[in-house]
Amino acid sequence: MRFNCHAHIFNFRSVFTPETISILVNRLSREKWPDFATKAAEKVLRKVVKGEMLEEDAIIRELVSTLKADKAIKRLLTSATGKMPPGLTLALEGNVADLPADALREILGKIGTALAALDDKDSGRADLGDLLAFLAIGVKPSITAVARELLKQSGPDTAVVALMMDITAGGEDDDALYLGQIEDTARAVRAFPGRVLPFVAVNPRRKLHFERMTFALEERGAVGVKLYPSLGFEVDTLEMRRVYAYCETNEIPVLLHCNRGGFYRNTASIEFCDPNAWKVVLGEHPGLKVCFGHFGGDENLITPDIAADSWTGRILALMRRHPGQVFADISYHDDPMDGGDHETNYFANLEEILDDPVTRSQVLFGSDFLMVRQRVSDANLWRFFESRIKAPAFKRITETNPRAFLGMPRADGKGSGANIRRHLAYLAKHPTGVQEMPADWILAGVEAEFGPVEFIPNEFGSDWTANNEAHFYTERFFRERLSQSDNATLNFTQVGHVRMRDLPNWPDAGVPAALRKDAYEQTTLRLIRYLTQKPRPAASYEKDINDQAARAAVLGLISKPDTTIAAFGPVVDRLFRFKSEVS
Amino acid sequence: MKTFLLLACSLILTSVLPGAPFFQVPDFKPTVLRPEDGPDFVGALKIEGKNDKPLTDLQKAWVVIGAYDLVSTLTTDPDSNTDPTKFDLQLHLRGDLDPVSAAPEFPGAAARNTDVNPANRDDKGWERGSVVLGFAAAFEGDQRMDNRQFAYGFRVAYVPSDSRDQSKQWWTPMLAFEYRRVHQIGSKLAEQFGLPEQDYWRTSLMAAWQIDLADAFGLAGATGFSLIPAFQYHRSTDLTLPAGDYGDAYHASLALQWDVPKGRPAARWLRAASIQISDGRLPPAIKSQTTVAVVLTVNWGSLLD
Repeated sequence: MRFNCHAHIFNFRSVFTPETISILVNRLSREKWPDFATKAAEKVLRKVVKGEMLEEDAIIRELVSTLKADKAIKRLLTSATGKMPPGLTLALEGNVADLPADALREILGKIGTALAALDDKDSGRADLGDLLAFLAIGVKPSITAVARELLKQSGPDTAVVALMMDITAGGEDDDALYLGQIEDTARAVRAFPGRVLPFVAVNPRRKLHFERMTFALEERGAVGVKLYPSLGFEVDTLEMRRVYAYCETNEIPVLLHCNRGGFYRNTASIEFCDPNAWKVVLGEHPGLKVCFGHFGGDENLITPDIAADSWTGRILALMRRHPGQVFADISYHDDPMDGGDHETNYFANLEEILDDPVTRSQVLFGSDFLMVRQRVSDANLWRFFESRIKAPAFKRITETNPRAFLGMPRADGKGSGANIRRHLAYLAKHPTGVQEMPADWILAGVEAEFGPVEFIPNEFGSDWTANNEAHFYTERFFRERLSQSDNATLNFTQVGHVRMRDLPNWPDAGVPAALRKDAYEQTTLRLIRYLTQKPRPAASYEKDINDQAARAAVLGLISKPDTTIAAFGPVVDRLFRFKSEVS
Repeated sequence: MKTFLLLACSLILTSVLPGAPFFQVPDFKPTVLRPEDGPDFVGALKIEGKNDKPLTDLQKAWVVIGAYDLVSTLTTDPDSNTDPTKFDLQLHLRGDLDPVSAAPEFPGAAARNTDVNPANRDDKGWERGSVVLGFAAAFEGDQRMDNRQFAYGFRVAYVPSDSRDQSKQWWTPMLAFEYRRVHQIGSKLAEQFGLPEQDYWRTSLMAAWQIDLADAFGLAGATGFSLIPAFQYHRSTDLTLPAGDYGDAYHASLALQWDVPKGRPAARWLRAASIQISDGRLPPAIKSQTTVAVVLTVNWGSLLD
């Protein structure tokens, strides 16, 4: 298995707030996008994080409508006539406001793909297709959906280090949002067991940063810690020492952002990423493994020689002083894609580092998905580096070195670091919540640590599983409404696929609207009464849920013909508290 | 102008009170219409807002619910606008006539996703469904507000049980009966006939059946096919004008729908197909006609490939 040691699988909504969205907009504006594209992106992003557009449908609709209405993009599309799929051209000429969301999502993707196709060199300069592809990933409804996209691009035998992001405005106002990111990332861990290895973000501006860190590491399958000092904190402070002490004791690797780009609170805070700030910390915590993300910045590697006083030079000095403790990854290294001297110098410098008997074992491969999608797809990025680095060295940075950094087990499943053992324990607790059969290393590791565990993959992952009490009772309720043949033959998972339109008594469009509304309301109220009366003990509303919220959420699902029964699983889980959830 | 005033009032209710959980910002849909008579193209703005709120505990068999519906279409050529503007406030009592189904014990870790545990329908017996008893008060008008009126009264509806066994009770209809007093505030039509504004009663009756052919008649080959007959009758009494919302009006339709079962090759690009034959008129439409509609619900995503 090969590893991408630097990636993000968050969606915009899980990270940004109205107070912090300017950091992302600022990041986008530093790229040389056409004005209309940046403005469209900013308009949508601001609405997304303000909570005005909670539905993915609305987000996609806004984005496509804004782009479609812009004269500049119209000219661009007109000039590309003949290179566009006919279906796309037709769709863009029509009224997009009435199109269903999945059609709009397709349009967004196709605009991006079609525009990218106009530029044959994907790895060349970033184009509008790259921006659209980036936005289309970022507005996905869940972290699991983003992870699915990354894994699809990465290939079947790839695992990714998923770095969480904590762009907090400080205090604890956005604590629920951050907890949501941790929970959703854990869902992705269960969806793709052995292929998503999360690093929990620590930002000391958050009041409960230490508690959130230990929760993610001890109870939600996280295996490392991510730091982003340019978001406004210094790394050599007392409260950060507490974090390092915990990581050293519990064998938790740390990865930090280390270049002059990316997100930052202000230009002064960029300097918080200076590798020299780690000199003392590394000496005081010899058991702490630290990876400098982006290797200090690719601009230092495209020159004929790496300046000793550049951040890259400083990292190399730390690597020699602390072998086996200091690592660096080559994520978001897109400057060599410019070709010419940049490419030649970059790979000459990298080859020298990978030939050095000390530093060769301390370099990791990373892409910086989804941020790097503004420039290149992950599939092309892998190909670009694989074709330019010698095979043994490439294997070292994508397989051997990541295993050492992450504390991976041997082939027999033994020898895991403490962080990986906790990850294995987390998955062993959810044998039916996995979406696909775990990777071989998970199966071997779980057996070596805990004895045989039978994993039963479920295509819905933890979103629809018989072991979940909310899902179990939801299935029992709808089973009484299935057709006779479906009731007799479908198992739990298969019932999840049944749509509202497949239920024999669900009123179709031929029934007058007023009567349909009455019928949907009946099913809605019956589901709520069933859940709150019949399980022993009965379920109750979660703290922040009332009758109106529950009714609106359930009625919204029931009245849509293509809602599947599985779609009720996470919603019922969110609305109701069951016996098995009470600790 | 009057329509704008009405909408402004509605929008104050629905937008300016964001803290009020009941009222919601309505949806605005810009549209272009091509009328049969009049200009080639007419710009239109469709406005739709609705929400409802349970006023009693939802866990009881009888529940009181308050709701509103706002629908309006504003066009650049009001003469081409056949949609009424309507703001309807409703208060209804809904009663479930069936007991809540029994539930098994949650087996916890012993439950398997591959388990098939059919519900035992023989235990359910005859199912009664639910009833709705309610009051409604609406303001209705055309775009120019030349014809405008209040319509208030009550509504009774019956919905068969959603879990009823089709093979035993397929013929049970969904029913609604509405009886509203209509108080005309202004009527251009009456004026044209030299008559004053009038008050009158309007009776409406609706019935519809949702019949799953495979389940109801044991036709395995008809999986996914539904037959949907629907009938509406509207009668306005105490009136002398034989047009528009007045007098007798009926509307009957019969739809045959195919919800493409998942797994069928056609499901890749088609979700449902239906053919519907209808006859009659729905007030305030004046023209009675027979229409045939074929509707394909397309999976857009696959078509764009």
